[in-house]
Amino acid sequence: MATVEYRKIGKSFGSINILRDISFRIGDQQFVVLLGPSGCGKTTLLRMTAGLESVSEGDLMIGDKRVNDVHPRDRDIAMVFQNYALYPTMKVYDNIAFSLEVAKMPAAEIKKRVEHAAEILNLTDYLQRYPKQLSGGQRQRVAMGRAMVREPSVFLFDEPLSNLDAKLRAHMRTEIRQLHNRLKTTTIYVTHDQIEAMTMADTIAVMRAGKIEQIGSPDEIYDHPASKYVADFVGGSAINFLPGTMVAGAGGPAADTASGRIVLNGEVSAKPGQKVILGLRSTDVTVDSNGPIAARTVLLERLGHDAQLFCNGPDGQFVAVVEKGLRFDEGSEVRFAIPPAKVHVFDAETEARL
Amino acid sequence: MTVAQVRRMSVSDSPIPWLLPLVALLLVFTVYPLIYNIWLSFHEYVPRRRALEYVGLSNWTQLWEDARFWQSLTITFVYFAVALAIELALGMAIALLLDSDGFGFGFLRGLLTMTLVIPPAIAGMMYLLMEDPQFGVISYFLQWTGLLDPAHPILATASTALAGVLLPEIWQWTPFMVLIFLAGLRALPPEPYEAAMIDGASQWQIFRRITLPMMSKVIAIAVLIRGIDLFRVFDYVFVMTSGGPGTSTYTLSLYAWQQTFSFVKWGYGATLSLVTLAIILVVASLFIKIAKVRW
Ligand SMILES: Nc1ncnc2c1ncn2[C@@H]1O[C@H](COP(=O)(O)OP(=O)(O)OP(=O)(O)O)[C@@H](O)[C@H]1O
Ligand SMILES: [Mg+2]
Repeated sequence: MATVEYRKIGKSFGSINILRDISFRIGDQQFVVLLGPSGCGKTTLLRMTAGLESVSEGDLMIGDKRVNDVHPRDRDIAMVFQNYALYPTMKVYDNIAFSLEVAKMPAAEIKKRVEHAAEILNLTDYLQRYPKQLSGGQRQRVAMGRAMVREPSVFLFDEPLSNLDAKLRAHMRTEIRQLHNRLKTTTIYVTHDQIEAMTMADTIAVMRAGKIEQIGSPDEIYDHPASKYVADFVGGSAINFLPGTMVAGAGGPAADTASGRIVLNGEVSAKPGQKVILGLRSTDVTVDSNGPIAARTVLLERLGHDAQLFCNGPDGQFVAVVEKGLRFDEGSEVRFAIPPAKVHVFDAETEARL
Repeated sequence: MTVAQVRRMSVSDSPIPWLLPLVALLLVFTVYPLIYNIWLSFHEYVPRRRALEYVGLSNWTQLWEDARFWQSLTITFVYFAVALAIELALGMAIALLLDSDGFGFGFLRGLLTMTLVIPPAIAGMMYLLMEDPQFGVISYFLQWTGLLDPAHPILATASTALAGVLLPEIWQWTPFMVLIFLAGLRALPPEPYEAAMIDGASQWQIFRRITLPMMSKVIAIAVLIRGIDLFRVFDYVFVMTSGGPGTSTYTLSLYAWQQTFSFVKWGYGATLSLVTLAIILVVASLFIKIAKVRW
């Protein structure tokens, strides 16, 4: 059980700066997801937490201890590596058992734990194989098993499910969450999968090019994205960005866009005349013949339980998630509406939430 | 052969033109001497008649009763085992120490090749001088620490002579082991080490459970190359003790040399070298099988 705290953490490889001014605190028993695009420094931050990468600036605290110079062995963490890092000369069983063996745990207890983990991970038939005899997804599950048998003070997961099929991934998501509910171990989990972040996290930290862009609960991040970047990156479906200008309407603030005048939530703190960008999630817009936004249909893409309608409007492409049963003629005009509370307003220049 | 033919052969996909020169060399310098040696082992030179005479199996049966053969075989095994064990352990230890990207380590690794450019016979002579009871630095040092009795010079005492000969052997060939091991160590993937650190393994556990298994093929190759060489040891004993004192450092190849060139027993000398060859072949093939060395 432990807290993890980053105090003004920075990281450079030679003269190349990778991470800047990372400061946040992960409470005991928290499940934090680091979310960000490829190359933004998620693995680097995780490896620094594990002690595999030196800390260039700032203080890294685990519990009450500054661990910048503490050996990985003494940090009491378990990690699932993005590249698995299995022991090539050991069978799956020994790969999973290794940490317990070096800790001199009784063989019977080791066997029990390894077999239990193998069962959860569907690896029981593969325990006597070598890593090179496994598929990518199987290897990833071995890497997962290696962490699961331990009871560390912090779990670090680096995209542990990236190589699994959709069904197994969903299964593993619940397993990991259940593991967390049972052990209550502080967890840092890296992913670029929206659904993983939304479903598993207590707290999401959205990263962008070496910095933390926003930290908050999944709902906060989704409902109140701090910037255009977060709005764009978080949320499984597409988001439409419409440039516009604030106007003082009769019924509260509104913005004029090329597509039409869109009424905004009264809380928006923008002055009339200010240039803004409106973010409209495709799941929040509805087809409404009296709606303010007009566009011409281009393509209907069926998603299973609903459909994505691609349109061409004055601001370029406009996407809306619609009911599956609806039919549209290609090229016909459709009008859309959106509740004012669902419109995200960002400053056109800073792209910060208004 | 015309130019056109040579040109055609030089782009041939068939292995034959490429193998032919090597096969010819092998035939002349390896296969023929081997067959001749086998033929020789059934004959013996008779000085009286200045000719080789057919003696049947007598050279081979003589081996069993030849106490000196068994003694030299034992000495060779001891030399082989001690040298191999020390070179392996020391070589691995030094390789682990030098496996670093720190400043100056590249230079240190380069230094290792130094002993390998010295001809073994010269290295033997160097150690002969260094172990000299009067002015040899090693003898002086050992006497100063009280480990060596001045009345019993290293190379002139039956119980220590073999150790004296092993010194240049180990000095010269441990760096060879280090080089092979370093090449292996430097090529190991870093990820398992990171995982092992996170898994809480100590340095020793990492070495035992991660490094050694990953290095097993490299170690097997090193054992094979050095082992074969060690079994044929000649230079150091020849230069330093000539097998003495008495017969206490007579190795198999030195004994075969003595029979052939000092006693002019060409047939028996040939038999002794064939036995050496046979032992090497059997032991090496067994080792390749057991250690699962893949070429
Ligand atoms: N050892 C290194 N030397 C120099 N640059 C590095 C090194 N390791 C990583 N980087 C750089 O640091 C940046 C962040 O890398 P990192 O692996 O942390 O990204 P990531 O967020 O985990 O990406 P992904 O989602 O693709 O795994 C990248 O631009 C990468 O090129
Ligand atoms: Mg990564």
